Amino acid sequence: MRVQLFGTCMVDSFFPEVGEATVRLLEHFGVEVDYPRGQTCCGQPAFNAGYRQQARGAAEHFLSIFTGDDPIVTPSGSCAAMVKHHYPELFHDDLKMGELARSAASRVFEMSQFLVQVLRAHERVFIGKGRITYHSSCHLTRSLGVREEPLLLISALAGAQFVPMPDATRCCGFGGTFMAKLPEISCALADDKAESIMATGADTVTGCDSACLMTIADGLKRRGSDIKVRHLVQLLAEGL
Amino acid sequence: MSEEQTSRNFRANSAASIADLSLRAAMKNATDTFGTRRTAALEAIADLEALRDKASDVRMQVLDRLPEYLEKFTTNATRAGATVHRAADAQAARELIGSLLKERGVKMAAKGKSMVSEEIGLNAHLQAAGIEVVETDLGEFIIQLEGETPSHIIVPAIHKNRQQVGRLFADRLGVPYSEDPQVLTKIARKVMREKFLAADAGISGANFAIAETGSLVLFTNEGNGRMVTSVPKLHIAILSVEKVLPSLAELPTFIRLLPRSATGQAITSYVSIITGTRKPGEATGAQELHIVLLDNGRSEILAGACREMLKCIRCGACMNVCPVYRTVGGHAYGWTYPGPMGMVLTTLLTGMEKSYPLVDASTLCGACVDVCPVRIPLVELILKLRERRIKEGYSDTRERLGMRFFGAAVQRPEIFFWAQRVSRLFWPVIQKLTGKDVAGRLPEPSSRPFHRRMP
Amino acid sequence: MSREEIVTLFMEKAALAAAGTLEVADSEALSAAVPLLVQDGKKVYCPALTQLEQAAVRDVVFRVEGYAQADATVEEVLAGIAETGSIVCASVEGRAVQASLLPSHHVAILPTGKIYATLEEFFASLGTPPTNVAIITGPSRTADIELTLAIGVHGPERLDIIVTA
Repeated sequence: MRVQLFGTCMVDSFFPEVGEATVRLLEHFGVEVDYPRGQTCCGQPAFNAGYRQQARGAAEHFLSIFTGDDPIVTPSGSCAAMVKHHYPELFHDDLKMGELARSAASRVFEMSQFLVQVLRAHERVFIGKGRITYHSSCHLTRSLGVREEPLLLISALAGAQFVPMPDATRCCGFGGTFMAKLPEISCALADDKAESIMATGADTVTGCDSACLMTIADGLKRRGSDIKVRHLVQLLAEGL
Repeated sequence: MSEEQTSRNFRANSAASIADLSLRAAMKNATDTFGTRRTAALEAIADLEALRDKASDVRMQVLDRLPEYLEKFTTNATRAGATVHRAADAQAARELIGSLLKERGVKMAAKGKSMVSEEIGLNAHLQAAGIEVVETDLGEFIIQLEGETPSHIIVPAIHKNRQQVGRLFADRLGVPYSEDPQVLTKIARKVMREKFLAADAGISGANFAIAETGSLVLFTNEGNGRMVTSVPKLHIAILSVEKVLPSLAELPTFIRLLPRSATGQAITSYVSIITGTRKPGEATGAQELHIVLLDNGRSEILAGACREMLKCIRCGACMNVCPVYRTVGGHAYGWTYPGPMGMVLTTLLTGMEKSYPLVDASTLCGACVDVCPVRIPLVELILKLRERRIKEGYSDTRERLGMRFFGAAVQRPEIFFWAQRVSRLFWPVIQKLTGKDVAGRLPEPSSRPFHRRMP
Repeated sequence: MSREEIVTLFMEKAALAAAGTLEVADSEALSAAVPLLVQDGKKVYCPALTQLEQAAVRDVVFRVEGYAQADATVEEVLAGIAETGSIVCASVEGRAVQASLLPSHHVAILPTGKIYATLEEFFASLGTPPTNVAIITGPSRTADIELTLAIGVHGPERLDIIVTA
């Protein structure tokens, strides 16, 4: 089986190790990973701020790179949701691009979705340790409806204990350009999230979206907490 | 209370709210409580999604034929003895109500809770005309004493804790200090009773207007709504035009959804159905009933791309789950309506010039979409407004330039990765420029981005 | 739903809304029950239009002419709705709906045959509505201060419903 990997701009610049963990995991399950060159960004920052034209540009570029029929896998719930739900709508007036958009939408997977639904990875055993809590990112949960898959994967980490977080689905405060335009509110939300995490007594917090995890890491740091922040693919890759 | 709209200062308003620890505590307590109560109340509904679909369909059906339903309502309400007025805007509504009261020599009007009356600034107008307006809903009474505006559409004084209310009553009413809500409520009962019985007129809102029977429907808990609509000889009801339902047969759907979504109750203590004036042989009902149907921009909205906003039944569920509202409270939004429905409706009603920062007041988390009983696609509407803001020229200049660059770079990998290298090189400068609360929250860009680690 | 199931559901829902509920078998039992509810000294208003109303206040001592001076209103209501545990008062037969609003205690007499299973059934029965219809569920209440429930605001502080055959 072969997949096309969409790293995402966040991972590319700030969290390349998440990209590496993603590749390691996929290859461990015998998946051939194709990384199309020249991939940049799904266009979400522009789309969410109302810049449709620029979002369309990003989508056009994405669709010119991710061609064919292979599943597109990405370690980001919000990027997967962008492709799945907004790409077709961005090209509603263009027959050819619309076709490409619908094709991409039909074969895009967020990583934990792919691991569970296609690779049945949660039925395997991974090595884990410590007390882990989980932040359920907004787009992952509400746009993609991915609620169970990350939890199933966490429970496959033998030796680790899962501690649920109160208000796990409450927004971390990132919100794309929101964090730059309304930083006071964003920081307050991140602080509330940090408080929820610290209340669990966990030593590690995980999630499926690097932007959220980055915001959470900063929130915890401001509280002087040394709780580790790890993308779920990192925990799984480390547990192979 | 009519105050200047301060939506343009949303960011500064928010920063002030965030620093107000007692407000933060009150908002956290309230939104957590609402969440628990709503969830518990909705468990009793066998098929919630079907009920939401039905409610959404009914509201859309009404909006699709609004002029026709309004005509029908007017005919039937008139037949039942009411006088129905159409007010094109806030000023027309204020002046109409003011003159109705003045002509009848009204000195004091007892008022039930009405968000639309806040929207038009009714109280200040009437007060300026020498008419005393007494707010009878406990929450509205509290904020009237304080000289504030409501911060939530269902629980106006949600931003206050019991100590603040206790001190307020002690200061303004001359009663001994108590912070026990039961005691404070009894004080309000006593104070208000005299007012109800002495009022020359009652002013109320309405949750719905039933086209087929010409009836007004009010969902209330305290009894003041019933008082002001049946004790004084004159009753003036004001509501916005989109609040129509076709017939009483549609009402049960909303009786099942609205209280549960709003306060977590299966039903409010009182659902009042008021049809016209007192008929011969009856002992209940106003002698004179004036119904003011307010447009104030709704026809325009109805004709536009954001018309689904008019499905709103004012339950408040969206603000109860909104992480932004929870953090900043209602006053930060700077006008009558706060939270998700507030940011959209305010922008639509008052225009981009007065509201443009409000469309940023969302992380697009979608929690509101999950709970809206009539399925208003709030996230979609916010995106539409963000697009509209750019077109109307109210977007941030730096953002526009940045996005233009982004738009070019994202399609040309060489430029994209060049920008990536430059950002890394100038990271300390970028951090300095944007501040510790923006780029300071991002880690340093990697010296080996992911694409360079892949073959 | 059977008549019995409707009554059971009604009593359950009404109690959940903090109404006092009581079921009596006949007029005699009604006459005995009401004085116990409106304790000695309470000034009672009753329209006394129906047989049940007259039976209800047969042994009530302190009666007043108007609801405005009363501490308690005892009256037969128009209908009940089992789904929500609500009673319905309306401005029919020259009744003053304010009688169920102004006094601090409301005692509602509800014949079992007038309890509708659902809201839809009740509204279907209404036809052209009288001027004032009040669907009443429990005593008056508010949660305006810190979302803390306080029973008894401007409307009655206490509601008792007596269901009778």
